[in-house]
Amino acid sequence: MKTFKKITLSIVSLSFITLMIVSSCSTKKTEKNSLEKIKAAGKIVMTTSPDYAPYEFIDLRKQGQDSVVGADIELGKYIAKKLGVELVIEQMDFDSVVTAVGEGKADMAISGLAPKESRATIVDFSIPYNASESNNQSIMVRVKDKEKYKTLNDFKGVKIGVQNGSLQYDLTVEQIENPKLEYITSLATGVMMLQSGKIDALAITTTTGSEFSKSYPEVTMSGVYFDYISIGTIIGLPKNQKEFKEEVDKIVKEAEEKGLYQKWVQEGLAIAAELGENK
Amino acid sequence: MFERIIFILQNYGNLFLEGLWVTVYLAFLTVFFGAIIGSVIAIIRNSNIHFFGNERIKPFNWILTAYVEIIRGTPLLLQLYFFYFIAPKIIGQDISKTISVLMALIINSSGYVAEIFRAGIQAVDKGQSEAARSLGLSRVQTMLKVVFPQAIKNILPALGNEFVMIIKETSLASTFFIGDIMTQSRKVTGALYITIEPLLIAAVIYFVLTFTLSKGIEKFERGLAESD
Repeated sequence: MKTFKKITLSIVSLSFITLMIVSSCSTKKTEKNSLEKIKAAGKIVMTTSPDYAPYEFIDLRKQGQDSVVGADIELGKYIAKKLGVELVIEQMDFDSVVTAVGEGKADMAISGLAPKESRATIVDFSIPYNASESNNQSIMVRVKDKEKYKTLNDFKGVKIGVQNGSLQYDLTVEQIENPKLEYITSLATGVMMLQSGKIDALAITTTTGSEFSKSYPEVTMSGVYFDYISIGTIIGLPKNQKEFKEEVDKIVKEAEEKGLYQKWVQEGLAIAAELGENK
Repeated sequence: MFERIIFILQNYGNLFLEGLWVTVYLAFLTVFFGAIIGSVIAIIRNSNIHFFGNERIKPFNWILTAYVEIIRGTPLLLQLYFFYFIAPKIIGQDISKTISVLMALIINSSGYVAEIFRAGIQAVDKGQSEAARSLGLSRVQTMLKVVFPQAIKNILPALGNEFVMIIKETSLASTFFIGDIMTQSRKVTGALYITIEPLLIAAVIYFVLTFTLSKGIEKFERGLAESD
């Protein structure tokens, strides 16, 4: 009887909490103009997942917010400077970066985000930046198996690691016949799994993949590419904030035209190389 | 592998020291406030506050039971997300990252500590409170002056173990790059693209920390037993 009471109680209170959450989420607050809000507060909050050199990572020699460096961070600083406000960087998991903007916890997400359709339901996209002419999406394998893989067809039925919700996941599902998907939480874990034989291939961008293979000579890029031309990465912005989006687009375009972003990437690479000297 | 570990320790060892400090600091705050909240919960649940003169109507008891059961029945990672993403919406005001994480940890710990206190109080022989009551002490006096001081002896070692548990659980807070040992390991991976070595360093730090602490608690426990 007592346990029964406990169960009923828990269920009642759980549903009460759920009700509270649902009602608080669905109450449409009068949406303020983001741009005005940012200017009034004097600060702009950006979310990023700093585990992706040279775009966003931690300069291990520094402390606090200054330690977050990379091309995307420079872009964030540039936007803040142009808007005449201070930049606040919130670090979190890649999974949460977009959600935080959608939930109104931050003003923009800059974290090497590909313009994926599913993300468009939560945030609006800025114009793309850092478009690459070359095909950049590829697959990593162990060095000793490299010979086996010549085309995408060779990956049929192979155990392939993909990061949930990533662009590489979409490409793998679309372009490889009958893949054995193995979900990984971060690319770093994926590389470890590949090394230890838990997976046989890992969908990854060439830039990141070659950085990993510098640290781990057992793995290498297969040289097989997905059929995908990158239109670049985007900034995640709050939904339906037209003025804010226009302003950000203008600034991003300016940074691209002046070649600033490519310069920042080079600077990021230089910092990453310095950190890993003699590793 | 060893060269890389040495490389990391030589160049960025202070990062891990900083992480160690943040982990201990977080765990301490968590257990400290968790113990305060948890003890209050346990005492109220053990009391006889009832309404309408009916001993079966104990709304405080019901609410607190539900609180403890829900906290113990949901994963900490979920609670972290709850306090970061959903709680600000409910109260209609933004909560900073550190506060969200701390709140999640404290609330989580308070559920477990409440059970530790409850068990500790119930372990005191019933004859003790009966004797105190028949000597004319009130319920509150009995609790505070007779039962609780004896219960503390059962509670303290368990509370120490909770501290050791929390030290390990704080690693989940690295989801929000809070600066603990795990966060530092992830930072190194993100910048240098080295994975296994920073994890090994983190593992050694966690182990040394928890092993020393549990040995200390064991010794303390033996001391308490001797005083019986």
